[in-house]
Amino acid sequence: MITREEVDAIIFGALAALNEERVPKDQIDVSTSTPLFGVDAAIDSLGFVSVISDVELALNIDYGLDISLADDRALSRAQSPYATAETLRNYILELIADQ
Amino acid sequence: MTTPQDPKYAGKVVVVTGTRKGLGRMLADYFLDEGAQVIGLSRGESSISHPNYDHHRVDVGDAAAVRSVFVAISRVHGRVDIVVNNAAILTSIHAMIMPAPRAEEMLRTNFLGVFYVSREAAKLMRKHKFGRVINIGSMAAVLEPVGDSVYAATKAASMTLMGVLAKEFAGYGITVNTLSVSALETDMLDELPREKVDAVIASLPIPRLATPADIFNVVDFFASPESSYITAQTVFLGGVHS
Repeated sequence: MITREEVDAIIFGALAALNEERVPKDQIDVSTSTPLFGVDAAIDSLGFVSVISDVELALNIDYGLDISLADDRALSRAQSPYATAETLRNYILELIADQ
Repeated sequence: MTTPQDPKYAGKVVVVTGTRKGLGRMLADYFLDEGAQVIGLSRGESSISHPNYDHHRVDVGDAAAVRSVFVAISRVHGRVDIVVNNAAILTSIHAMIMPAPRAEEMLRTNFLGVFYVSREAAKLMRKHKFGRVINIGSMAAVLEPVGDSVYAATKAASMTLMGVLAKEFAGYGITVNTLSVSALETDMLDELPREKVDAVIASLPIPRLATPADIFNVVDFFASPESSYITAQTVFLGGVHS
């Protein structure tokens, strides 16, 4: 069973990958409170897509978890699961628990 | 004295859909001859035996199955450089008597299959900031032949899809283009009445069937690293135009 810390590490890895492509002054804070989506987002739409894709791929390749993070359930929520790294992690754990 | 040229696609990982026969088989053989690692996706068993060829049996219209295949490709090869969306189904029959399952099958393979394969490939291409998505289109999309209602519409839809994907993928170094084939001597052509094919060919500015070389020429152009500024384009063979 994947742990909360392992999910965090995957999300942080995706954010770190984005940072590798950014100049020093544009580095994203890599933490559970990093805003991923919405008006306060630290990343643009391309970056957001990259993070979601990287996280899905890592969950699948490293843990054998075939999870779609952009499913109807996520998109129809009043409270976006993509708001921050922490809400994304919680959503991932919720999806895994439901499998 | 001439020296043999380096293979054009040495070191490249190329995914081709619909490789069991027809144009897909020709393309797979071409990329293999030119040094690529080729991954073929087809619903049936492989018809190619080559050390650089991997085959996955998959319905490209099944989103989850396509996703699983690309995860497997990522595990084994770690990348995809070029994807050719070739798989297509053609049922040519008057709209009033077109069986609904045939219509749905064409929509699923010719349109949704292109979407699912392109997006999963792009997820892997993105990591290397390089990718070439090549869609095999059809003159039917613009000539709108009688009997090809759904087929032509799926091909037109996939051209529009390529335009949007070109915008969405551009930031990742991925180009997205369509090669619109006139008519090539394959089993798919046998699905159509010969006199109908002959009449269409006779109406083209260059009134002959396409050859594999005509197709490889445009594929090479789209796939080339030098074509990084070419995206959202459709090249029609034989002088077909919209």
